[in-house]
Parts: sequence; structure tokens; C-alpha cells
Amino acid sequence: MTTDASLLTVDDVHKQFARIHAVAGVSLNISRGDIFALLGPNGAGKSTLLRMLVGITRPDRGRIAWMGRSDDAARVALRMGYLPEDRGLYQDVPVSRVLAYFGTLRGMTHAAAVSAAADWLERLSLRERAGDLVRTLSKGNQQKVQFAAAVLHRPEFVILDEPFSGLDPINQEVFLDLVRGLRANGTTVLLSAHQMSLVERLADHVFIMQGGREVLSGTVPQIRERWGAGLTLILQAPTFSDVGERAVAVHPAVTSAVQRDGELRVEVKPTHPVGDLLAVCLAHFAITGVRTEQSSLHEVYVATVGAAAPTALAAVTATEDAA
Amino acid sequence: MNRWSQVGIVARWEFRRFVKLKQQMIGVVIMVVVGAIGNGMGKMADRARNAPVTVGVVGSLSLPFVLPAVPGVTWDSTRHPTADQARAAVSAGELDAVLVVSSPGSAELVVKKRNSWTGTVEAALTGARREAALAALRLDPAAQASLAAPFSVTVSTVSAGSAQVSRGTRIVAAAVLMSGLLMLVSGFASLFAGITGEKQQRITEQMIAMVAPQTWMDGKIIGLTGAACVGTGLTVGSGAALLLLIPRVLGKPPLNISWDSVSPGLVALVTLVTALGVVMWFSFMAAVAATIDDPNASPRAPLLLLPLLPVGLAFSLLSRAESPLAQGLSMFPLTSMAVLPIRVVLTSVPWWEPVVAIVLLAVTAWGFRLAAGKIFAVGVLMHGKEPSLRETLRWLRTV
Repeated sequence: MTTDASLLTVDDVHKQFARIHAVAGVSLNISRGDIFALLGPNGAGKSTLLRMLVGITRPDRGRIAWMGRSDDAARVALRMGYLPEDRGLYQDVPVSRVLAYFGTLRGMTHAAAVSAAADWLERLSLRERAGDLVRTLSKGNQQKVQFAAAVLHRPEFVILDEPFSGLDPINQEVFLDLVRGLRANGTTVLLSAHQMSLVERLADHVFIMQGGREVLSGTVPQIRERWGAGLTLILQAPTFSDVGERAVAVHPAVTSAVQRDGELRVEVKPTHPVGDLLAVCLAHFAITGVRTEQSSLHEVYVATVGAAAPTALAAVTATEDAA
Repeated sequence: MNRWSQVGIVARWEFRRFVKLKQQMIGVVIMVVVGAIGNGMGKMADRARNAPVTVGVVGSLSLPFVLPAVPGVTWDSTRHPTADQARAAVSAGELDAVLVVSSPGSAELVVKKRNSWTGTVEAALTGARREAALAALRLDPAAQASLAAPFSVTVSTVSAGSAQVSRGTRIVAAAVLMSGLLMLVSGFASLFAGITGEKQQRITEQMIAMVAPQTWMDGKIIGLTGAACVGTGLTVGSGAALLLLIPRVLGKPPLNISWDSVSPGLVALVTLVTALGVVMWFSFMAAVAATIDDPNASPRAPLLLLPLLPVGLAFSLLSRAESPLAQGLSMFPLTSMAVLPIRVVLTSVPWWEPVVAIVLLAVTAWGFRLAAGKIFAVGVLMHGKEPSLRETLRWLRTV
């Protein structure tokens, strides 16, 4: 499973809390320079897996290897950055001092940490607040400071647990750019999130978990191709005859054809050519407009995770409680 | 990054978090002001106590002695010849009191309201009566002096190394011990507030991702010990300065301590025992604080008082410092910090006793540190519930 470019290899990792299997045999591989998204419902085992990667807890079974080595020194050598799901900063301390403290704990000299903190606060439009106490910052700004604390020391690998949660749309875009900026500087990013639309725009690789196990993984296009509903053809016409609608619905490339809001929405099977289907449509309707939509990651997520949700709900709740 | 470098960084951070010189200096100033106010109130009380009073006397001729001189009291046996007249004068406020003599050995002191100086009058009358009785025996002055002299006892020892500990050494040893106890109290407050605060502010996971729990705890203990030293130093230093300054301000003789007689060895011993005790109890405190979820509602808060029990024990043993119980407790690691210094200062202690006490205390402090590190590692990441004692003991075995 390990490739030359592999930065992290997780092989059949298990973690159990009392009788709850929080992580049940997860294997994954993250390449250097990737943005790798870990998705899954609450209690799927994402945070437990991330905590094992950070070294806060240890797996009961399985192997975690950094560049092929599974010792702590290899992880330390990467100068990993971590934004935990449980956000927290020293509240009664000036912003710049907190950042400098975290930087020095990560091995930076005090001067370098102070300088890096100033740079990051500038990038985050918080330069004016450097001397203010953390508690005087808004929640969104505190989250920015926490992000800076995770990446201040220029880590080669950074783990962001729910980086977008609690942010307004503007700040979500800011964070999106920040994560892209990390990748541009060569940092490998592993993040967990619930905001599918953001992940879709950001991630190179997606890994969906449920009940401590992998549900599906791959690049976003691969997932759409393999698991998505394919293409949706949306036709506009003055009227849609019943005969024509039936003709379209029984076409071998079509999954379903439904009229909605004066449009005919035709679900096309994945990888199926649509030229012949368009000819049938033109033969039956006076087409005035055509557009297409790809299945979104959100739809894939809901289709794959949601299908199993009722049976998994009890286990998920129990896992959250145990963790 | 070197583990000890991280310990140093954490220690400096914790030190700066809890040393707030400005506030502490304000505290010292407030202490001085309160001391000055207390001193002023004491003087006012003295003045009130010594305010002159006039006491009428009825039937003084039946006393077998002359009315004694009592500071602030003027006897008046002429103005009111009868008891009723004198009582009326007390009621009217013309006299502060009247002494109605009923027999050579008893009298009634009538006052308008109860007050504090009547005891002084009674003691003076008793003394005057005793002196009159002695005079009636017609003893020579030497015999009278012999009757009044106390029995003199000088303590000497025959064991080697049991020389009397000098006053200066006692004072310094007591100051070191009291400083240690002060450090425990102030350090506990900082450790408790610091660790439970970090848990509540959800800082712990971020920190554990950067530093090993044992490293973090060691840094905290070192930093907070330093902070407690500063706080204690300020308190003790300002207290000592006041002790030296106040007699000068009041025009009284200064505190007489012969510093040359202070035994450096004994002071070093007390300092070492105090330092080891502080490390041991701070480790204990860190572990307890790490298992507390809500400091306002935790049933574990009384555990914070546990380290103060040996202190109470030590004070109760002050009058029996040579007893076998005191000897045992001076070597028992959980009590030696408080009991050993008292035994060393007050009694003759064999050389091996401090050695055994220090070795046991050092081993226990190290064990506490390691055990506390394990509990701390799990405890600081737990939110929402407090672990049971069984769970905590399981961490010690499994982490």
C-alpha cells in the first residue's frame, strides 16, 4: 500500500473504548503535498483516528507509519501541526504571546516564533489585535489565531479537525484560502469536515468513514464516477408530452425522468453516452434550453452514509459517549 | 526538541502566568497598611485601657494594708463616707466605681457597667494583701527574696551532637518551614486554578499534541514553585522588614538575633526537606486537579487540604517532639516535611534520622511525580465527568 510519495500510511488500525470499537480496522495512505479529507457523521471515529495520528492516544492494534517508519521520532521530524476539534487558547494572555509560546514549544527560537506570529497575524488581518487579550477576540478571530498556532512553525504535515465549524461563510472562504496556501507551500494537509461543498472544492482525496470503518475513498472525480448518480440532464421546453416523457424514461441510458418546475430532469447513468438520448429528446420536444449538473459530493455522502445511518445510529451515539 | 528545553519553556510560561509583581506589590502595600491600622488600633486600645478612673473607697480603715498604686486608678476614700452615697455617685457618673470593704479579706467593687480594668484592681489588691501578710511575719529581706524567687533549671545533654540549637537557627529554621508551608498554600491555588482552567478552556488537547504530559506537568511544577517562591519571598521579606522597622518606628529595642550563631547545616537540611516536600505535594496536587472537571462542584476539592494535615500534626507534637510517634512521623514521607524540622530544632536527633527521612522523602517525591504524570496524562483530556478512584488506579497500571 505504501508508495514512494507516501507521507503517512495507516494500516489496519483499531481503537476500542470499553466495548465500543471507535476505529475498526482503518487503512489509508496519504501522499506528500495532498489535501486529504476525512469525512463521516458524528461519532464515525474521525477524531479518534486523528488523535492517534497526533500521538495523543495509541492504537490498540495496527500500524501508523510516517515515511515508512512507525517510531515517534519520524512523526516528530515532520514537525506536525494540529488544530484540535476542542478549540482552546489561554484567554487572559495577549494574542502574540500565546502564539510565541506555542511556536517555542514546537522548537522555534523565541525570536523566530515572535516573527512568525507577527507574519501570521498580518495575513489573518489581526495585526492590530496582537497585543489584545485572547478573550477580547470574537470566536471567528480566536479560531484564526488557533489556526495560526497550528501552522506557525511551518509543519510538513498538518491535521485540521473540523477547521470550518462555527465559521460564517466569509471566514469559511478565508480558511479555504489558508488551507490552499499551505498546500502551495508544500504542506500536506489532513482535515476532517462536514461542509461537503468546501471539501469538494479543496480536497485531492476523500475518505468517508462510518462506524469506525471506511465506507469509500478516492479522489473527488473518482468518487463521483463510482458512487455518484452520474449526470443530470435538465431540459427546458414549452410543454413536455406524456408520450415523449415515456420515450425518454425507457431509454437505456436513463435512470429516471421527472418533470419539476417546468423542466424535465433526466438522470443519466454514470459513464453512459448521451448523444443518442439527446436525439430522442429533440424528436419529442421543442427544446429551448439544456443544461447539465454533476452529482455533488454532498449527494454521494448522503447516499452512501445516509443509507446505512439508521442501523449505525445507535453505534455512533455509543461511540461518541465512549470517546 | 529536547525534553528539558520544553520543561524550561513551560516553566517560564507558568512562572510568568502566575507572577504578577504589580498585584503582589499592591498586596504587600495593603498588608503594611493593614498592619499599620492594626498597630494604631492597638495603641488606641492601650490608651482606652489606661484612661484614668476614680474609685471611691468605703471602709478602707478595716483593710490590713495601704491601698496599692494601680496604673490609671485614683483611690478616693474621702468624698462619700457611706456605701449608699458612693453607689449613688457611681450611678450619677461622679465616680467610675466604688470599693466597699466588707472584711479584711474581701470587698465589693461596684461599677456602673462591666469593664476590663476591674481584674487589674483585684490583682493589685491581692498582691498588696500578700505583701502585708509577709511583712507581718517579720522575715528578713533575704528570706522574703527567697520566697519570691523562681526555681532555676539549666538543661544540658550528655549525647554528642546534642548541643542546644541557637535562637538564630531556630528563627531561620522556622522561617524556612513557614515559607515552605506558605508556598504549598499559594502553589496549590495556582496549580488548581491553572490546570482546571486549562481543562475548562479546552487547551489541554492542543498542549498534549506539542508536549508529553509528564514534560508539561514537570514544567508546571517548576514554574509554579518559582512563582510560589516569589510570592512567599515577598510576603516573608516584607514581614521581616516590618519586624525590623516597627521597633525603630515605635522607639522600642530592635529584634536581637545573633546571625553568627545560625547553623548553616541545619538550615540546609530544613531547606532540602521543604523543597522535596513541595515537589511531592505539588505532584499530588497536579494529579488531583487533572481529574477535576468542574472546580466549583467537584467533591474532590477537600483533597486539597490533605497536605496541610501533617502541618497540624506537627504543631500538635510541639510539646512532645521527643516522643516515638514524633520520631516515626519525622521519617514518614507524608509527614516528614513538617515534623522533621521541629524535631531537629527542639530535640536531640541521631544523624541517621534526617538521612532516612530525606531518602524516603526523595523516593516518594519521585514516585508521586511519576504516578501523578500518568494520572495527569489521562485526566487532562477528560471532559464532562470525573474518573472514579478505581479508574484512576487503573490508569496508574495501564498508561
